[in-house]
Amino acid sequence: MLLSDEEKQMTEVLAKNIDALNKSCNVFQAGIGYKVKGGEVTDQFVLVFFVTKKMDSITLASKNISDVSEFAGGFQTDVIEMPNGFRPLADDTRYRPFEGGVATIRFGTNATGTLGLVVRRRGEPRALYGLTNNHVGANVDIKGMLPAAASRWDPWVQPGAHGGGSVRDDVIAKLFKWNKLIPRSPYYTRIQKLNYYDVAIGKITRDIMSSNHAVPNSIMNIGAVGGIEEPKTKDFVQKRGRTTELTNGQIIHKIPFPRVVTVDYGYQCDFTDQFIITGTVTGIPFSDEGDSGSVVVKAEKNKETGKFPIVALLFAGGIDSKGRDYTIASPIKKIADDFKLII
Amino acid sequence: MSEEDELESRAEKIVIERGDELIKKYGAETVGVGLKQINGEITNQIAIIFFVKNKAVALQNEELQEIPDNIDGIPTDVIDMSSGFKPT
Repeated sequence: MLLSDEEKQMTEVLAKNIDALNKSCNVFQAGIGYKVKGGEVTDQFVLVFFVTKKMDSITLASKNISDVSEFAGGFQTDVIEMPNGFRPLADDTRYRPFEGGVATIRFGTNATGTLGLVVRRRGEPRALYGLTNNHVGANVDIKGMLPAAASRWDPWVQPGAHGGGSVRDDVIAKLFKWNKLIPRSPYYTRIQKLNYYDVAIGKITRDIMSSNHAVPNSIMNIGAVGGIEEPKTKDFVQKRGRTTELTNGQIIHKIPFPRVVTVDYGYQCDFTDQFIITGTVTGIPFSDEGDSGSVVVKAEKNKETGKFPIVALLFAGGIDSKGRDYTIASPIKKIADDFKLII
Repeated sequence: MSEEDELESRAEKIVIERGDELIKKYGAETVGVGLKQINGEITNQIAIIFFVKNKAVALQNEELQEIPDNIDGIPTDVIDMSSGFKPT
């Protein structure tokens, strides 16, 4: 593509000042293009800056944030507010073969989550299982609620409800085992009402097995994963999920036993021994609705195995008053032990 | 054990042993250990993290105390999670 002299100069200004724009002006993305005024695209060619929150000059000064014009090299500017940043479109593609990180749901639940990983279980060398959350694969099955929200052998489809997954054509697994979520209740003691994870595993169907359509120990866009590592504060991690797809993050908080973080499923459920992750790319959350069930792996491969070590299974999240994203994830070690997963 | 690891262990011990007391005293939803944020940036500073709902309202509750800058010398960080956590 040929650039005009003006475009070249504008591009040079951006290249020179992009770090300062990121740090001093809270700009998460910059480019050149036509100014938008009153919702209309004008013919004025300007530097375009994307921010998560647009502020007037007084607020900028009070927060010690610089005005973008200081780094615009005299060119006109347009500042566009994108509170949630840029996100990839959710991936509701039907994949055959499929690996971890793709869309799935228990058929009949009007939602879509993520099949975190295809794995083997101890003592069953010929069978494969899909790993996800209870609220993806078992329809938010809560302890004490009748009738139960899910039954053994309920079918899972790939893609999920948003991708039109059908029982006739798209069943990949059948619900095999899950932990019923324990709600806050005066009937349970403090220890009895603690949840450690939100997990369901489904047995991959014979059809999928015979056609070799389930790829174990691999995550889309990431590659081979395996080996367990304990999550640690400051660790850099990644995941691939149905909604935000491949994202990067950092483990920033730990909620140690017996402290709890409460998740609202319609019923309040307390989780202990959890880790909290935030996205490391401005404007891109580590996870969002539809990513539940994604497996969290380290950002770097283990040099000996050549695989990305697995640290956790994500299942919930939220945004704070300043717009930062938080994803809650449960250590994979306890899940692997309790569900006999070979990881 | 490095100085940083030692600080994290101390913070974790406080959170485990005195968590109930801290939550009640300061009206927090959750207390944990992690990295402090300064001006919206994640730092490498270990802190005791308080997740609160409606920080402004909590501050008006006379029965609650304001979360101090540090607890036993360990910095604190307060995160306003008024919308709470939901399954994704």
